[in-house]
Amino acid sequence: MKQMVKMEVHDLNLWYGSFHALKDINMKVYKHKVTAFIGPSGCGKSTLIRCLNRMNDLIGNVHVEGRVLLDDKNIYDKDVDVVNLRKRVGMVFQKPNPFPMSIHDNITYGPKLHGKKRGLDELVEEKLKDAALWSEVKDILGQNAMDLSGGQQQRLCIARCLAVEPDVILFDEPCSALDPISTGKIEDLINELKRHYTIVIVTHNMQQAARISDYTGYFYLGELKEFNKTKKIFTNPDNPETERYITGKFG
Amino acid sequence: MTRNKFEQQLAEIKKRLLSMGSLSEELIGLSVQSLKDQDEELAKKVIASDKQIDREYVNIEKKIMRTIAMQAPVAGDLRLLLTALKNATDIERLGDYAKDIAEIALRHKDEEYITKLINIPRMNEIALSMVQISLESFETEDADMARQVHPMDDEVDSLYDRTFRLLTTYILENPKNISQAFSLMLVARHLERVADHALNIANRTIYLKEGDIQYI
Repeated sequence: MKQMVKMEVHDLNLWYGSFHALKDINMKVYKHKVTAFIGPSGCGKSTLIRCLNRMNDLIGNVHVEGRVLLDDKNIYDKDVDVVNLRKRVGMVFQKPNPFPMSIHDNITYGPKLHGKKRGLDELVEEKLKDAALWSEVKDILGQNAMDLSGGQQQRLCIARCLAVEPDVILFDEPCSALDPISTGKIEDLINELKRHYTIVIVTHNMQQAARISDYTGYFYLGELKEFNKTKKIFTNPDNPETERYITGKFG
Repeated sequence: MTRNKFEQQLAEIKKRLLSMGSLSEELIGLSVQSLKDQDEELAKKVIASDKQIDREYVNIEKKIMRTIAMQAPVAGDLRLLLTALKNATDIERLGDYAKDIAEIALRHKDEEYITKLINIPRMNEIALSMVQISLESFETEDADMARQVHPMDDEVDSLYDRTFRLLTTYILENPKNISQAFSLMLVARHLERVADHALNIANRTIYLKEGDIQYI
């Protein structure tokens, strides 16, 4: 079956000042699939995921060449509205970062910013349900989000991200600050979310990549060494360098 | 190089499996010799030694299971452990065949054979070199070497067919031959199976090296 392509990276190069952090990256992100980026620290995987919604624009001294297509439109074109881009390509970060306000207001903050005024309560319920958090917080929606546990905060951040109805969700090591049970919940959630969203995840946990992703890219020193189906990468990778990394013989 | 302990565990599993393989190979050779020479003592020795293989099989299986559970291996390491686990089963079967052949030798130790044993030792010789080559291909992870086993299996199959036909004629000639002919047919059948197990081990070396499961 031919997979639908949601995003496409073409000859992407990125420099932090004079440091060449991404080198000629070419890859596809398939619609309604989970794509994982793995590789040792400093390999460029987080840099690449931040290119997918132009988060790198926020860092000074960054120079990007090449194209990143979202539904065939280059997101680095001059006429692209970055705020709108980040609405379509949402992001969840390593450390849960809820706003210091109520659970309810965390969810409605984005939609309100984009002009939504009605049906906010329904939206809160729907998105908290989608993020598998509703049953735990339905009676305390007015409470400060900072009082939730780490795992709950991370699911709230996912719900907040879903509230603006993105097409793609980028996860930058979403479980590295969580315990195994919270991690399991987030992994189950990602598996559910891919039915409606396209997902890209950076993870240091190789078993996590194996468990939840459909495609995996292995990065080293700014290069994409191998991009393949996850089941291929973890049973018989094409590149011996990938094999050495995933079997823990180096890295 | 990281994960030194894991590397050591993999090397140890491989080493123990190979020595279990050599022992099974030796026992098959001895069992056929005990049959040929009608050597009661040798047959008993083979029967006793099979227990050693059974024990080692359990130990190796446990060790592989623990390693999988605790090291979460992937890719080549995972293929090596799965190959080792399945090879252990094949090697354990080889020990069982040696024991069965030795028991048949004991059953007929005081009888005169209805025919000179020619095909059986020949089958034994080829099957044993198949075992030897397949184990060596596993040790060195050499897929080309493993492929050498394929034509040898055809030779064993054809010797088995010939032996079967020959023994059938002895049965037809004289019903008194039935018991011994059946026993010898069983020995031939066991050796044909030994060759099949060697083929399995060889095919798994190809899988281990090339990552593609093919059963020929």
